[in-house]
Amino acid sequence: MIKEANSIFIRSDLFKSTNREQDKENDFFKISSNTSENILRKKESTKVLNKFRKFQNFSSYSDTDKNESDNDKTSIKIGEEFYEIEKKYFLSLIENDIFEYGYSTNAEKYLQSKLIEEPLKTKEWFNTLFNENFQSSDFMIKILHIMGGIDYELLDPQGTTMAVSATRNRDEEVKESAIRVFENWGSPQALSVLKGIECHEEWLQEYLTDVIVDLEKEQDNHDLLS
Amino acid sequence: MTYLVRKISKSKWPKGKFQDFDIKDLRADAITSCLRTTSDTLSTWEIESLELLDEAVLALVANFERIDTIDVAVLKTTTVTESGFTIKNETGNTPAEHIKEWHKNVVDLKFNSIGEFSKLIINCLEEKQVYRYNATKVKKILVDALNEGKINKSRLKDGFYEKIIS
Repeated sequence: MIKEANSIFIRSDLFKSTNREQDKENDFFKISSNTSENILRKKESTKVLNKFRKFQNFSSYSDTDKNESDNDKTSIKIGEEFYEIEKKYFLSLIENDIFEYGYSTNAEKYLQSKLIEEPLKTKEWFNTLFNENFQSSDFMIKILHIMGGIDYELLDPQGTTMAVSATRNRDEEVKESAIRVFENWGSPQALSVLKGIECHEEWLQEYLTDVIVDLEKEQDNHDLLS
Repeated sequence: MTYLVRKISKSKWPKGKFQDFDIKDLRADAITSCLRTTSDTLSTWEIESLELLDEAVLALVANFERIDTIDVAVLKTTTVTESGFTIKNETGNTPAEHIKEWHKNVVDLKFNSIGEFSKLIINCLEEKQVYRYNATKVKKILVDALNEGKINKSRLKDGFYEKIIS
């Protein structure tokens, strides 16, 4: 969800308005959340507005909320749609970002902020995205680039599992990207994961060996100090 | 003998059998990612000798936002000029003030010349003149530079200093 001052932009098509067939244009419309009368640009937005009003009242969505009433089911559905919007926004950032080692992307900054704000749900949709796109080497390299720039504690435990699975990917470039993630994280599990990787290309095996040596030195230094 | 240093991503380039490699099979990503031009120009850092390679790497990494492993290709300046490329001086944009004047641009690049430059990179790979600086080494270069006063932390990108010292 893109926030601008006191207003929120929502993609109307994601709420599946029944007039959607006539609406060829996917449009953002502006809802002012601080006024009693919401400002709308499209007539069919009334249904969406009602859904949004329900969502605004649903102030603390939690995946531990198990109340089975109809209102709560509706609110949970709206909550799920809300996180679907976040996921789609994240995807749009990935599409437009330039990925270069040494530089952060907008997608990375966005994900980091969501992981701090809403860790449980963010890890859930991020994990889903990862699994859905595991076969796409290009997408995996970008996702791993993002993960390498975020503290592993924010992504743990799903992040570790995701990066481990990427080390088993057939594509050597994806494997390299996964090694980079563990190198950047330097997490306690990193060493044991890296030692279990097999690389067929000589340059990659050399890199892996260097990373293992560095992490072992770091661990030795840490043990000496503690 | 002087050298031009350029950051590349080794994973996007051929890994072996360089003699048999047909340039037409080079991945588009190798060119668009590693040889991205601005105003038909490629940015490089010139060093007087290979002993100064770490300084060229410092010029590159001091502009970073996060610490990552990087690869650098090292080309002999004479090889580049003898291949028909034009090199021009332009003060570099780097927090490492003492090496700003080492920056060089390879200019007037076109469709054919980018392909020719790619061949030079492939030659570097064949001659093992592409060096990988892993994250630990990159961090050490930055920490040493800060301690020696070669870079001022106020010139680093937001949040980068905290990542270097963590």
